[in-house]
Formats: sequence, C-alpha cells, structure tokens
Amino acid sequence: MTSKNSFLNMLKEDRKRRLWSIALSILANFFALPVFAALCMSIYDQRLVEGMTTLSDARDAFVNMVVSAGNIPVLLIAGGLALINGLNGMAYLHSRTKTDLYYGLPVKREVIFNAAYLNGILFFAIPYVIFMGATAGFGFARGYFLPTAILPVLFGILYVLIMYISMYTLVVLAGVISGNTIVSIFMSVLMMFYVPLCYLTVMGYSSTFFVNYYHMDNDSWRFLSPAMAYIWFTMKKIDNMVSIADPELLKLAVSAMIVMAVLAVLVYFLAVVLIKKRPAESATKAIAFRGLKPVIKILLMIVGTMLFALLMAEVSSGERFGWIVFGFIAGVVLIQAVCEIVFEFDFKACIKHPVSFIIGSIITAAAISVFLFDLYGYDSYIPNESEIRTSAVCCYNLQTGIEYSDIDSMLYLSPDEYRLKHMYLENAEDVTAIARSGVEFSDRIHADRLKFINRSDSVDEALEEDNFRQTSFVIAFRLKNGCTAYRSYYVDLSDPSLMKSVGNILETKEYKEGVFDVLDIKKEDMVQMHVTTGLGYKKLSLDDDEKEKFCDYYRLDLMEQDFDSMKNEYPICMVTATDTPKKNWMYEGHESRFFIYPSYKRCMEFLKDKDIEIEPDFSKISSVSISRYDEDNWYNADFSEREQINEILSLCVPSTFYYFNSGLNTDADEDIESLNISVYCDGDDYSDYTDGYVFATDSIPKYVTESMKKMD
Amino acid sequence: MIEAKSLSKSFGKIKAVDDVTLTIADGRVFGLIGTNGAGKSTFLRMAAGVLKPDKGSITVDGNPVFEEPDTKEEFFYISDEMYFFPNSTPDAMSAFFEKIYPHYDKERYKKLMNDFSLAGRRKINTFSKGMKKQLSIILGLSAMTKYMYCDETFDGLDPVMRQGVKSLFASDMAERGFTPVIASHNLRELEDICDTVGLLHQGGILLSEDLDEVKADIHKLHCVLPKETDMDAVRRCFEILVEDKKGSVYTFTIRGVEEEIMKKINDFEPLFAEMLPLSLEEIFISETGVTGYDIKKFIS
Repeated sequence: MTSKNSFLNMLKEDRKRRLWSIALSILANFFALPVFAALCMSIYDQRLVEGMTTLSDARDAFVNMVVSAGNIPVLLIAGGLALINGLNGMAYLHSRTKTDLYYGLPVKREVIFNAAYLNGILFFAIPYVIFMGATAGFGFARGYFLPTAILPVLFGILYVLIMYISMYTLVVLAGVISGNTIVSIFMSVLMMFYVPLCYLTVMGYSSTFFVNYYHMDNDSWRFLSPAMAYIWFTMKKIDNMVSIADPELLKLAVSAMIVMAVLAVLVYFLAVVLIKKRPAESATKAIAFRGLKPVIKILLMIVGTMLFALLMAEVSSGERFGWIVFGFIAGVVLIQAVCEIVFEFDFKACIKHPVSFIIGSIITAAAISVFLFDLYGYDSYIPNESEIRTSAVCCYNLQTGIEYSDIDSMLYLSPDEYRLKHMYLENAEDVTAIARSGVEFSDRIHADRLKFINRSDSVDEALEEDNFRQTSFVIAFRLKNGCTAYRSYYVDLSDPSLMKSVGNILETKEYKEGVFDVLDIKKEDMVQMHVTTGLGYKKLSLDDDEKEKFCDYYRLDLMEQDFDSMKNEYPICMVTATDTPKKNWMYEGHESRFFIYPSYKRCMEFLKDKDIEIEPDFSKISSVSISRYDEDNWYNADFSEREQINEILSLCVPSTFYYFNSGLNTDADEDIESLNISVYCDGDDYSDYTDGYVFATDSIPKYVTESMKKMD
Repeated sequence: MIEAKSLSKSFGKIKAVDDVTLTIADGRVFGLIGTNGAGKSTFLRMAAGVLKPDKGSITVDGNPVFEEPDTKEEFFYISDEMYFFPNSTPDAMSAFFEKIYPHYDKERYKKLMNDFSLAGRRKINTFSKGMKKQLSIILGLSAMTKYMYCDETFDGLDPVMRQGVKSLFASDMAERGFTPVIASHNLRELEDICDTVGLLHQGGILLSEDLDEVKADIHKLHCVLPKETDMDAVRRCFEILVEDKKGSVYTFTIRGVEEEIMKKINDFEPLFAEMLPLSLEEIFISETGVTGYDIKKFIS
C-alpha cells in the first residue's frame, strides 16, 4: 500500500471513529452563526423600529459582530473545539491497548498522526465556512449584509481559521507530550496561557516594585498566544466598530496572523518529530518524555512562585519583605510537590528530583531579585540625549479637561494615550531634566530597599515625608534605534530649575500640537458650538468661514502664549464644538474644547464681535455654599448677601479653569484649594450649567472661615 | 524467519527483556513461554514494531520491523487485550483491516465468522471475553499475513474453540507457510500445538529449541535403589534438575540422553527404574527451578 493510500484510508477511518466530534462541531457552528445572527437581527429590527439606530449602523454591527472575527460565540466555540478536537485526536496515544493496535499496523506513525491532525482541522473549518456563508446569505436576504462587505468577511474567516489552527496545534502538542488525557488538558491550558501569564507577572512585578514604571498598551499582547491574538482582535472589532479596512487595525491583525501561522507551523513540525520519538510505553504516564519533566517543573515554578510571592506582598502589610520570602518558599515547595505527584501519580514522589527543585528555586529567586532590587536599572534609566530622536511628555495636572477621542473608531482616549502618540518634542535636554528629577525621587525610595517594598505605599510615604506638591510626568523617549522607552516620574515643580525646563517644553510648538487636538479639527466636526463661562453656556452660531476664522485665531493665540501666561492666568471661558450627535446609538458625540485665556486677544475680539458676553454675571447668583471635609466631619457655610457673594466669587475661578494647569500652581495653599464652593441661581438649585469654584488666592475673607460650622 | 539478536528493553529501572537472541523459523508454531513478568509481551510488542528496542535488533525475513510498514504487512499482531473501536461491529473491524492489509481476504472472514457462529453486525462490546478472542483470531487469519503474533490469545478460548483454532493454524501452515507465534503461560495448551518453544525468564532466554529436542534432552526417572546405595555417587553421575523422593521411590528430572541415563542407573543395580516422558509444564518448572524460580517456595 502506498503511503498516500494509507494516509487517505487512515483519514477516512479516523473520521468514522470521530463522528461525535463532527456532530458537535456542526451543532456549535450552527448556534454560533445563523442562530446568533437571527438573534442579533431581531434585536436590531426592534432598535430600527424605535429609531435607536440607523440601518447603516445595524449593517456595521452585523458585519463586525456576526460575520467577522468579532463574533463572540464563534470565539468561544473555536477555543472549545480546538481543545476537544485536539485531545480527541491524540487520545490514541494515551491508551496502551490503542497504541498496541495502531502501532502494530503496517502504517507509519506520522501517517496516523497526520490523519488525526488534519481531521481535527477539517471538523471545525468545513462547518464554519459553510455556516458563515449561510449566515452571510441570511443577512443579505434580510438586508443586513451587503456584498460590498465581503472582504471583511473573508478576512475574518482567514483570521479565525488561523487562530483555531494555532490553538488546536498547541493542544495536539500537549497531547503528544503527555500520556494521560487529564494531564493533556492541563498542558493545553498551560501552553495556551503560559506566555500571557509571564507577561502579566512581569507587569505585576514592574508595577509593584518599580517607582518609575509606566505601561503603554501597544497591542503587543496579541502576540502572546493564539488565544490572546483571537481575543484581542474580537475586542478591537467590538470596541471600535470599524471595518477591517482601517489600515492601522489591518496592519496589526495581519502581523498577528503571520506570527500565529508561523507558530502553528513550527509547533506542528515539532509534534511530528516528537511523535516519531515518542515511546509507545509512555501511554498512561503523565509526561511521555522524561527529559521534559524538569523543564516543565522549572517553568511552572518560576511563574507560579513569583505570582504567589507577589500575592503575599500585595495582600499583606507591615513586614512585606518577610511575606515575599514566605511566598517564595511556599511557592517552590508546593509546585515541586504538585508537579512530582502528578508526574509519578504517587504522593510519596513529592520530594523526588531535588536537583531540578534547587535549579528552579535559584532561577525563581534570581527573577524575583531582579525586580525587588531593580538589578537591571529600570528606575534609574535615562537615555543619553544623543540617543533620543524625539520625546513626548504628559502631565495629568497640565491642560486637564481636554477630552480626546479617535473620531473614526469613536473610542475615547486618555490624555497620555493621545499625547504620547501625537507629540514630537526635540528638546531632549529639558525632557531629561524632568527624568533626572524623577530618578532622584525614586533613588531616595530605593535607598532602603527592604523597607520600601511596595510601590504605591513607598511613594505615598516618601511624598508625605518630602511634603512636596506631587506632580507626575509620563515621558516617552523615542530612541534612534527604533525603540521607545516609557517612564512615569514623580517630580517637585517647586524646584525653579525644573519649572524652567517645564516652561521651555510647554512653550514649544511641538508640545502644543501634541496636546491640543483642536488644532486639527475639521469644520464638519463643529456642528454645535457653545461658549461656557462657568455660570452657564451660550450657543455660538458660526458659518463655515467663521468656524475657519475662529480656528485660525485660536491657533495663533495659542502658539503665541508664553509660559508666564500659562502660569499666572486662568482660562476665562471655554468654546465647545460637538460633532454629529448620534453617529450610532452608542455614540453621543465628541466635544472639542477651546480654552480661551484673557491673553488670547484675537479670540476675545472674535467672541465680542459675536456678542458673546464673557465676563461672569454674578447678579444671577442667589447664594454660595462653601464646605470642607476634615477628619471625618463636614463643615459648611452659606452666603446669600450680595456683597459677600460678589467678594467671594471675585476671588474664585471655575474649577474647570482653575485645574486646567494646576500643576504649575506650586504655591497654592492646599487647605484653601480644598474648599468646595457651589453656586446657586434664583429659583432653582442649579442653572443650566454651573461649575464648582475654587479660591484662586492664598488668603480668603475672614468671615468665610469664621462662618464654617460643623454639619450634623 | 524472525530473528532477534541481543534484544533488550527496559522500562525505567526494570529490565523487561535482557539480551535475548532467538530465531523463529518459518512454517512452525513457535511457543513463547515464560513466568509472569518474563518479558513475553514485551518481546512480542518489539516484534510487532510497537516498542522500539533499547539494544539489539529484531528482523522479519531480514528486514527491520520498527516503523517499516512494508515489513509490518507480513504479520498481524493480536495483543493480550485487543482494542476494538467503540460501538463497532466485527464487520466494521473487518472493513478497517481490509483497508490496511493488502491481502486481506473478506470471503475468508465471512466463512470463519460463520464457522465460529459469530454475528458480524452485533456490537463487539456485547461479546464475552472468549468471543472477543475468537474475533481477533478470525481477523488475524483473514489478514492472510505470513506471521501472526498471539499474546495470551488462547487463554480465553473454550476447549472446542482451541481445537478448532489449532486445526486452522495447522491447515494454514501446510497451505501457505503460515507461522504463528504464540505467547502463553498455559503450557498444557501449547504442548500439543507448538513445534518450537522459547522459554523466557526474568527478561532473559533460557532455551529456544524444537519441542522434541527439548523433550529429548530432559527425562524423568523413577527408580528404587538398594538401601546401601551411595546416593551422592548417584547424584554425581547425572545432571539432576529436580529430585524428589516418596517412600523408597526416587524421582529425578535429569538432563541428558535417555540411553546414557538408563545405562548409568543400571550400574547402581536399581530394584526398579523407569523413564517417563515429561510434559512441557514439567520441563518449564525444572528449567526455571534451576534459576531459583522454585515452586517449593510457594508450597509449604
């Protein structure tokens, strides 16, 4: 019999033996695709009738969530079937009687293996493709799917199949390595999630023990395992609700596909090599290859013990170092015992193989020490200025109140996400000055390593001791070698030289372009405009030319603003521009904010020409309430006399404007700053829009403090 | 011809087969006998290409076995606990083997199923142990391979079935040079079917000879000697494997040629001396008793 004949025969015979796998796959794909599609369409039918969405949005949702890789039920069944088909296919290796039969046949081992392997792929792929086609057809018939959207569907099919094959091949390898089905399940889960677990462990240790740690989510977790790659893409599709035609997403997805496809190929060939070497007598044993046992044990010991020690450090207080040591000892002993007991299926084996136990313990201790004592200098790292191509800084206490979003994906972005991506500073000297200040602070914390074990507690204690007004800067160093290093620094801006460096940065065109997204705003996104002063808002109606003019004036005024203005002034009003209010039922519009300073002459004139009154009118205010919280008690005072109201409010600034650049306010009296000031208008508790207020002075009227009474 | 040369296999610290060299000639029934844990199943599994030997080699007609499908087409392996596909029927198993073995004879399968009164469409998981053994033999014979390895296959068969199978083997041997290799510790069954025996003990081979030659080489001597006979002198004359005395009657199991043994005992002027044939079981006990596997240890 030729090997091709024997392969085809084994393929057919294996299919006959695994009819239940085929039936399960068909059933699972049936529910995950056409049934799920019918459910989604019924929900969208209702939403369309109620006017909560548009047909265009419903079609987008159908493509993203049903007929592409954003389909969650398919993700779940793909993972489940990869496990079931992989274990089921390799089950013949786990039984002595089965291996006697199969290995006694005149058929090569890799032919038997390949037949089972290929069937495991076909059992999922064929029903999936067929039901996907049927679901797209179903959607087309109901008007939810247009043929123009076929490319995302095809891409999604390819993506899902590659991820399934990657996951499935890992499970197959687990089945080849082990000799017992239960152990195979554990090995499969381990292979699928070991690398992500390592990643989380490193992140956990870094965030706990490095003072200057900063994590930038760069989608790299899509490379950690096929399961992670699949989950990543599904979340992107659901979060972003964009077509795969989005170039950024397409690039990321393709790179994940390539990596996982290569992984699947490498793992497959490894499995083929191992199947030839696998001794038949290893059926029913935990691990088929004796040499792998210490490797598996050591790998488990490193991550498992590190996580356990970290858990002890996080949940304990006081002598944390002692708890870390306890966690380390308990971790290595437990994992040693569990591994040996499972390997030998014998409780008394728990103390066997001391050499691998010692090696694993040493490696684990070294790994923990690297983070505990920062042996590779994470916190003290500052690149040479000559190595820096550009950099970006983000301070949470500067230019606060700006909301960022990716209008295309309708995803809201945090300030650091936006600024670190869009800013390209070239003055490395000023940026590294901030970094040096931050490193000095972290050095003081690390001076007594064993005392300051936990990052957040250590920082809090140090800040209390130093008694400075904490400001944190996140810096992205884009290096000439193509890498980007991120750090988060605690700095004291009361240091004049540091404040000078910050001022130099804030005045640059690159900084302003990186922070103020309104500089790139399009006329189409300025649908509704208002002017806010802190005591309400007024509508601002502008035609397209006026919008363009306003934007030009704003750019000029902003670019001319110097650091003294930023430091000594507060914005006097805010112009907001909102885009299309209902792009779909989930999106309520993005608000762009133009903060106007008194020194913005062009903008002030423009608004004056439009009859916009910027000066606050306190005559509307009927009362002012001031409260503070102090040692478990609330203190409050109300003022309704006109003179008092005018005097108090003349010393205050609306909190949105006050905190816009609060990081520069190093001289502020924190006790005065912490007073809560609320204003009330005639007739109602709240006006259309009222902001809270903050005293912008270091001394307040005496009658204010004297009137504060403890509340019941 | 199946040849094993210095064949060894260990499982961890346990040496299952230790430096075994033997030859299984074509056209003769080879009985692989041995104590529990002697290595019979391990030897057969290496011969079937299921296990890879640690040392030495095993060939079939000069060709290696392990991972050689062409060589493996020459034999059919029936393990001690043969695996049948879940919920399958004899017909389904037959269809499976028909695809694997190039000379599989479906008609012969049907005839044998009829002769053994087994239903082809009945679920195998409803068969008794003996019926499963019958089925495995039927499938093996239908594969029409040159060799067949049977690991404790006869143990579950009733006496009538055993005879039936023996006659089938004899017929195939005569017609097509079929060579069965049967592993068993049920020596009474093997005695009247085997032409050649290989005796394994603790992984090693104790003997591998034609049964007639084995029997020709060991004899049981009953004798009654005069009271004044120097028994030590008697013992020095022979290679005594086992000695037993009941009353005045000595029973010796002696290795040697029958005529020479009789001549030597007559020198001692016995009152009574008679040579009796040994059964395979007695030969087995004698040979293994030499190595210390002594039945007297188990009998108080």
